[in-house]
Amino acid sequence: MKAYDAVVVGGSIAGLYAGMKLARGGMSVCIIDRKSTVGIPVRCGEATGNMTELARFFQPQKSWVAREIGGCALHINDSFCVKQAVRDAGVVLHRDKLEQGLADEAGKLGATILLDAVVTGLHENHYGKWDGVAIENGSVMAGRYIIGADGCESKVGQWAGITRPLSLDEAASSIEYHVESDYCNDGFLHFFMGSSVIMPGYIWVFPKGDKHVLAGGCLYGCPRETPKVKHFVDEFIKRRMPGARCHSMITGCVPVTLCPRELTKRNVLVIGDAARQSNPLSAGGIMNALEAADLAANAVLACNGDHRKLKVYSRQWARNQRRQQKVFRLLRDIVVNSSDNEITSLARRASRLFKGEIDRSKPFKLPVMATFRLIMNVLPKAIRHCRALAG
Amino acid sequence: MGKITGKNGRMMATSNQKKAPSESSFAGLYIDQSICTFCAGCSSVCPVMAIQVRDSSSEISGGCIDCGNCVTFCPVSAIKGGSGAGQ
Repeated sequence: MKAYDAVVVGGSIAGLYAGMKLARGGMSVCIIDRKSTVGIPVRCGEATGNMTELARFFQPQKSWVAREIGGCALHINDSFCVKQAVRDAGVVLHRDKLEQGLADEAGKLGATILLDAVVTGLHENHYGKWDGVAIENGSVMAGRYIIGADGCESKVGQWAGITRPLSLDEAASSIEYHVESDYCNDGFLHFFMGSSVIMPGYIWVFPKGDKHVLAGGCLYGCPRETPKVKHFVDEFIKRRMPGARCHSMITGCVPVTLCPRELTKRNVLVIGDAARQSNPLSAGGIMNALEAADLAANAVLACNGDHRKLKVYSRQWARNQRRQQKVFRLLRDIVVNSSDNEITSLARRASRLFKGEIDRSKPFKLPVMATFRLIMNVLPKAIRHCRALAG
Repeated sequence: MGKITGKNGRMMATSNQKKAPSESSFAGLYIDQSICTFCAGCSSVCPVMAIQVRDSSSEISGGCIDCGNCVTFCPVSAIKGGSGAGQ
């Protein structure tokens, strides 16, 4: 039985970053992943925050960036479109390169990365304590701390009793094509909503490079009565990008729910999609995963063997990001339960909040009257939704 | 680079080693390996953790309660069969 200070299950962005940070803090780390190559296949829309935000966690390389984002555009059916330029909005990544870069860095710091290994459970010692994870080939990777970064499946979290399986309402079924096309390839993130496009959910077209875009769709809650997300995205590409060549297709699951209040149990922590820490409206999760991995790694490095001190990670997450998740979940529920006209009206009012380009590096003030009108527009629906939740 | 251990866990199951649907099915459900993209979405919504997804294979093991969540979720309709009794 090999013994490490920390065993990280899942070698995607959250797991790799947490492993890297722990190794940098002087711990012996083993990162285990079921994939046979780090970063491949990419299961992600790959749009995330800007280089300054990424630099909070690691030094981002220019080769990891496919395209700078110039802003975003929202299209509702064919009838309404609003575009908002944003300076320094973020980047579309080559996520495979980023993850390989992180794995390289973690390796240099002494971390072991075990690939093509399926974890089958938490290993209990004679005293009933979790002292590692069992691998399918019968071996055990022992670790004083176990970090579950195993994505949506969240098996480590379920074995430890921290998380439970996603219900269909809490999962978003997603699909994405890498398309050779110049449709909406203007550096903006394009989102398409409305009953004639996809419902309930959205379709995205993100710029990836010269004549290449990522076109994907996300269906909130996987309703049984509507067609699959693939049907909506295939129709969209056929109609709006006729003759375009699709290079590859990826599918995935994103949690669009609230993360549990407690993210640790004894010596086990969960981070990223495994902890349901993605944004319930946009389904974006890269920055959240990095933030969570950072907090979790700090908690592990600071706890000095006292498992109760790991709870500081849950508290820190609940104080900021969990509250934001609640707001975004409410917004998602409002969007899902609104008609096309209501979404258009909301988007129109929201677009009036901004005049000209938004500069993310400067503090931003919302105009009072426009914000008040928007809130009054949303409030009745929000109250109805909260009552329904309470009832 | 530090110590990176690859292919250390177990022999990788390739698509050539896939089983016939009737062999890997439980409660009548089976995963069509030629369509499956191994995204593990089905495993995320499985209430009894009965689906095991690997790098390039996936299977429904014992314990399936035929709830139909995986069938409803799968974006590429790779999971077939089942009585739909749980739906």
